Amino acid sequence: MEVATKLAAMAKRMLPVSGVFDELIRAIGESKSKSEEDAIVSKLVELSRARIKEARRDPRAQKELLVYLIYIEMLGHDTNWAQAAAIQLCSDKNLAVKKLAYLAVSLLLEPASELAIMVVATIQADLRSDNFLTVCTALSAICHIASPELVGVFLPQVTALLKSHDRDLVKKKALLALHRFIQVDPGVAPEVERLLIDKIGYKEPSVMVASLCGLRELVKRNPAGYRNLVHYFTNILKQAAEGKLGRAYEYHRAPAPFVQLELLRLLALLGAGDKAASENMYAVVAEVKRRAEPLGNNIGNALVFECVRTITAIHPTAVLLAGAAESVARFLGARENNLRYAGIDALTRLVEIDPKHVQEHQLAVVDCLRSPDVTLKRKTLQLLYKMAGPSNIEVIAGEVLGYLRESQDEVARGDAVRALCDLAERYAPDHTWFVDTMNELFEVAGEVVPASLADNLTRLLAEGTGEEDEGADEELRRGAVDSYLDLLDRPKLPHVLLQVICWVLGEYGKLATRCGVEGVMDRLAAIPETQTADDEVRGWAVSALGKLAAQAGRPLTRDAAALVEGAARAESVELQQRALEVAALLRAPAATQRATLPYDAAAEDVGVDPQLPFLEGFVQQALHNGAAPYLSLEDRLAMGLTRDGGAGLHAPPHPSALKFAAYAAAPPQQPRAHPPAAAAPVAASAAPAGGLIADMNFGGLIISQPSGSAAPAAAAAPAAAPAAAPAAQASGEPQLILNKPGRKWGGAAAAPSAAAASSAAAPASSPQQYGAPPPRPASTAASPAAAAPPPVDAATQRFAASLFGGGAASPAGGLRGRRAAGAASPAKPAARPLRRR
Amino acid sequence: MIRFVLLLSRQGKVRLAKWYTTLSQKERGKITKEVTSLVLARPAKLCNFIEWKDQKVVYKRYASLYFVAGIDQDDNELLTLEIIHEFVEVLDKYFGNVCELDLIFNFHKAYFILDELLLAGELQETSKKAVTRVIEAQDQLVEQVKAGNVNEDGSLAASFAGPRG
Repeated sequence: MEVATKLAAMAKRMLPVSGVFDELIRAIGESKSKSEEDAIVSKLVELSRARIKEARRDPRAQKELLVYLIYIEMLGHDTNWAQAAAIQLCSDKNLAVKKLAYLAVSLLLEPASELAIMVVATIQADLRSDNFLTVCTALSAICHIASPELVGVFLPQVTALLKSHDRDLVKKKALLALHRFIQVDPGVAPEVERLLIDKIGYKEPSVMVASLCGLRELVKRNPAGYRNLVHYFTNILKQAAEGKLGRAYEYHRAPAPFVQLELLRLLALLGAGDKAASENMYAVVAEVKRRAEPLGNNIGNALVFECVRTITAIHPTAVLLAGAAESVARFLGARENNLRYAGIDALTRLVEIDPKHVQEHQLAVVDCLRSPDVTLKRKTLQLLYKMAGPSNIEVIAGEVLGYLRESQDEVARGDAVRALCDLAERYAPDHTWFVDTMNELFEVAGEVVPASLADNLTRLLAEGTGEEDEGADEELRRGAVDSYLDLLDRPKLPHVLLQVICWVLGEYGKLATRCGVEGVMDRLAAIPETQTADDEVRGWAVSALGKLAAQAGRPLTRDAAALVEGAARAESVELQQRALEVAALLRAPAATQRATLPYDAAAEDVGVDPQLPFLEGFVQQALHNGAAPYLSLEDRLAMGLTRDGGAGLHAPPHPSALKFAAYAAAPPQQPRAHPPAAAAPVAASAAPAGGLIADMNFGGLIISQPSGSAAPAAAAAPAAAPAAAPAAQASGEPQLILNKPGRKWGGAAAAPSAAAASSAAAPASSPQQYGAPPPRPASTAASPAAAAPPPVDAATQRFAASLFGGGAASPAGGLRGRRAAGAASPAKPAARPLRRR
Repeated sequence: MIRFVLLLSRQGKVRLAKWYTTLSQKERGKITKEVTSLVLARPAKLCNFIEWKDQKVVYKRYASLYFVAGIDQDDNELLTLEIIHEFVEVLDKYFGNVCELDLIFNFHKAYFILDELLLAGELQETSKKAVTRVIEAQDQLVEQVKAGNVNEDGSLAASFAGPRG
């Protein structure tokens, strides 16, 4: 017997291919460089080409060819040249070849490949085969190549097999094919729904489970439609947990765990948001969890984890939640990181239902946050976002910024930035903090910060607190100017931050405490040298210089003048225009300058009369000189003068004539739709709007910045210009309102202190967090974790306290306390979110 | 659902790659490359999960091979780890003490086994025995065809019992 087994094992290991292939695979295994590997692959390709010729007769050659192809594909090389040959082999009579051919086709063909059509007939023939293994192979192939167009082709045959074939294996594969159909084409749901439901009660468990997969797909899309199935599922789940599906399904002492998990997931979907359905599940979920817990192995933990997920997904009940909290405690207490990860994940779900759960696990959470494991850390941050509030926002922001400094993962950074922006806007304790945090955020993650954030920041500075406390606003701006001047000392600031800096220095540069207007000008003029010299940045600097000089009524410094002069000769037309405008404006009388660029008027609303009456004279003059009167788009359309309007201008089509009509109707260009006179200024404001000061481009005509919100956002402006103008016209409202009134940016509650603002602000926040000895609150002492032991060092505990201190026990804990002592009552910042709602 | 399964050697060579979502060759190549570098760079003893782009990567090292699976955000990571483990157990049972060389030279068999275990990104068969039995039945059929004992439409196959569970 022993010998026989060994022989069988050897047979399994025998290669279906010749020794040459063996050698080549070995050579690839040993190859050191990509080029070496490529050389070997090209040898393989040669071999395969030779096999294609032989393959017509020799089954061995056929198999070899297919194995080669799979291997070549696996190494990431092109196999287009042989795909047709592989498809041909799918219709081979030899099952071994056929199976291999189907496998090769499923791996080789691109999803959208036209060649997939070629396999269809073969599959259809195979579905009719007497050999159930052939049928199964064909069904598996369907799962791999199914595309929306092919679903209808296969559906009738698959349905027939499911109904009439006597093999359970075939039934199972047919059900899975249906599952795949729903995935690719949700439209088939009504047709297959009944088929799947019929098989829930099937005696053979593997068939029953296969129907569950398809049902989950359906339930995901429409939970309400399947609530009547809950009692079937709970029934099966109970049986599965009790081990009634048979020993064959046992896995590491757990009875049919994969079936249980599938059912738990179904229940979670069905119970979400439905009290009645959930109540039917409580008992069985509790039972599953009770049985899984003592297993103590991986599959047992997976089951418990799934139970917790289900418990948090369905309508909550105190008993189950308490049980879930216990499991979380066990996971978090584990030494294995996998379990701690699961614990954090489960805790995040629990916290969404009831924030109190986190209190017990403060130290474990802090521990995970400090873990060297990036995955665990990221997961924990997600937990922090969920538990953030006005009391711990500063600590959490510090954590996120720290994470951003370390993390490389693009997507993770994006997530963290978005989360931090969101939280900061919602819970920021005061403006100085917000400005500082945002500055730091720009600095550490400028490349992933959304442009709207720069918007928010500049708007905050321009509008101030929104209350009539000019002194506080002034203080805020002065702090920002000073900190930006400091920031300019650092190399390689991100683009978006430079944009904000240029704008702020241009608007409020004269508030600088450590240098005069001239000093600020020199710093601005030096930006292209010290940072980057691309045209966009130079444009911002030029505009900022123009504003600064006009508002202060001082001439440009030598360096600044040199920059503007240089920019006037720049290749970039936009930059050139900016520079020339600035130069021209600065030659104008001081009163004109001040009227054009008034100080601190960025947030003022500007009235724009879309009729542009001041151009009336110009238009009259033109008409007088014989110009055609303006026709609106509607008029032109009515008269058939526009191409997309009608055939008015077209000669009747002549077969051999040149075609003049555009191939497809181009979208009507908005600016053209306006009076020609109006078009110019609108376009002017649109074109260079990439910069901060769209106002400049009005040349001498209109005055202060019409775009408290739009202009600071480089990204927003180009979109705004074409859109805003017609909108204003359509509504018949002469006002171009870009600022929504009534927005609240937090309160004047905590007037920024000069000391905090004038220091380099941004980095100052982190020492604050850890350095300050917050009054140790009762909260940690009360929690079981802290009651435990001295091995937890004081710093960790302090950190935990600042993170969780917002709990009932310590209203005055950590930074919160100090701030509360300032002016705001603890609840206030939350009630007055920074974000506009 | 499971989006892909990759088997990687410690040197980062792909030993098996199976995709359950529709991706072009190019995208597959890109994902393989990025996931490989991610997984190989992870020090031991960290958790077996990586959150990557819009999905999660679950991996486990068995001897010199990394088994990697990409799953949806809302999937159970611990469970995926067990699915991987089940795959390894089935491989082990089939080959009798499986090693990397078995998979290098018989990767198509590994594909067959995986196909019996996972279909369309879901676990299709939860019984190890059933999986092995189907594979053995196929092997035996192939043997019979080779020995010429049976006509090629496989009438002998009728004598094999399908999985009973």
